Amino acid sequence: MAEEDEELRMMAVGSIGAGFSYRAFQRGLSWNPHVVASDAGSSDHGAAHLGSGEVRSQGPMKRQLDTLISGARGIGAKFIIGSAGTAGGERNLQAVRKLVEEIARERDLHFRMALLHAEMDKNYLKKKLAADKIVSLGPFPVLTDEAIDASTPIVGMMGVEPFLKALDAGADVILGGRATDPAIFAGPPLAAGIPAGVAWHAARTMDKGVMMTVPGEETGSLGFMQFRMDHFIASSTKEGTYCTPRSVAAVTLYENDSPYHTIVPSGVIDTSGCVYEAVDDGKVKVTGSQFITAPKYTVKLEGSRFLGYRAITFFAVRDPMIMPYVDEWLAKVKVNAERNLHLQGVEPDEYTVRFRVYGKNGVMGEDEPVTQTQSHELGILVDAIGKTQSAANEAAARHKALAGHTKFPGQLNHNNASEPFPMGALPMGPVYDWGVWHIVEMDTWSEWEDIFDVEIVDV
Amino acid sequence: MDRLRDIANSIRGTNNGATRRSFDIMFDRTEDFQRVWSSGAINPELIAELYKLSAEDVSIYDYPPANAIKIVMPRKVVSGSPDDTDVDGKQQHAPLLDIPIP
Repeated sequence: MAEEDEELRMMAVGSIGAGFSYRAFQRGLSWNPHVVASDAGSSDHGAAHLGSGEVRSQGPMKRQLDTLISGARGIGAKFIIGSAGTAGGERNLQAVRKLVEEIARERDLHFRMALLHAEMDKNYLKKKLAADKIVSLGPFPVLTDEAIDASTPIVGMMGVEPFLKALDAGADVILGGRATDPAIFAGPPLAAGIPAGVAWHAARTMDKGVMMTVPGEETGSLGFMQFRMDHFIASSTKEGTYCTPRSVAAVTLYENDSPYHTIVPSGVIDTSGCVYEAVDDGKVKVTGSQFITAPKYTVKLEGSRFLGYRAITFFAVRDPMIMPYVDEWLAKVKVNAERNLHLQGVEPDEYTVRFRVYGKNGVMGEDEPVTQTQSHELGILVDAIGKTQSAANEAAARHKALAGHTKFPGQLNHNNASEPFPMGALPMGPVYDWGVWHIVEMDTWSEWEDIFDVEIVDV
Repeated sequence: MDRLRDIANSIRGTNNGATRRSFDIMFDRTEDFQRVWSSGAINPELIAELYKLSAEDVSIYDYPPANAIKIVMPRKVVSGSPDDTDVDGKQQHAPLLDIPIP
């Protein structure tokens, strides 16, 4: 932070790949941010991207990365992302690195880049497991050496420390693997000497980008932050959008157990004493932020578990006489389909099938309070998971076919399954869920250096 | 009697990680927030009944800086597992809409 310039400025994009307003980005650049940053991933959409290594919206992502990196480097700002490539695993990170290197070549950009690796060494985790330093965060399978080996892969959510190490090494572009959301934004202010309370709370406020702004997501605006010694100022970059004390305060409420406390590996962001006040031009000034350093450094672990292969298909029913019997009828469909599949050499232990009945309880399942559907038609998604893709395809297809041929009491027509267009079963590929959702405790404060490797590359 | 949907400005439902879900109920006007919070209409027993849970599993907080009431509860099914019906918990708020507010 230059002396004449007593603040650090940062602009945040909510999520790369989801899109943002180009004009809002250009306007934000004209406010001279020192850093452009984005949380580029999430575990909110399940374990699929960690398991498969695939990156969501890879095409749009390259375009957006190009805009962001070219824009940031054009004014000499640093560019930082975390949880790269949706899940922040090694394959996700390498896919994003490839895009960034392509952009650098195409644009003739040169910079020092840091890659922060988040994938865990399995032998390290087995040692921590044996030392009783790993705790489960919910109803997950008991963690064993075998479960660690079977995970495809396991990442740790890094704190700010690897980002600080990368900044210290002079990196102008940082691509982080899986990271605690605010850690992606907290490095530059902490490195500039901003007190931890302000740095972390402002980072947490901007980690969803546009969320702190009004009217909100649909505007494609970007969050803009001024980090100062005893307060921060939040604003919105798109013309006509703004921040309010409530829109800024509401961010710490989101996806969090306590509205006043956010946990990161090195401590807790405490906003219980904060004052949010509107200042000129739709900006909000926040004072009173605290950061409480944790007694031990802990890292959240996320591991995907391979379950099989999914195939889906869809059909709908419109016969009013079937509505009162739909559950019993679908149970009968399963019995008939199982017999049919057996005749074809596909046995029940090779697949599971779920009917998701939209119009009845497809969205809420057993929590659905409406017990008797009033719908005049129902859409039924057939969701099959097989030990092989072919078992899943057959299971889905035969369940639909047998729905057509399974009778219900009083049936007059001869086939019950309507299709919007000819469709067999659609293969969906491998299925993953969370097998690891745990916390690992470090023995020493610097142990993070053993698990999060910081690699420096001159591009 | 008013229902929650007549008074609240937004009800933001989402995951809190893979094992918990939350609803952020926000109000435009501070007096509406205070009215709903102080009425006690949103309480663990009612939420437990609406979501078929036990009351000990439900946490409810008031958050005056955002005129908000936050409800946190466990997910019965881990997010993204085969039995899940709503991976990020975006459409589980319907039972809250008609809570009567004195």
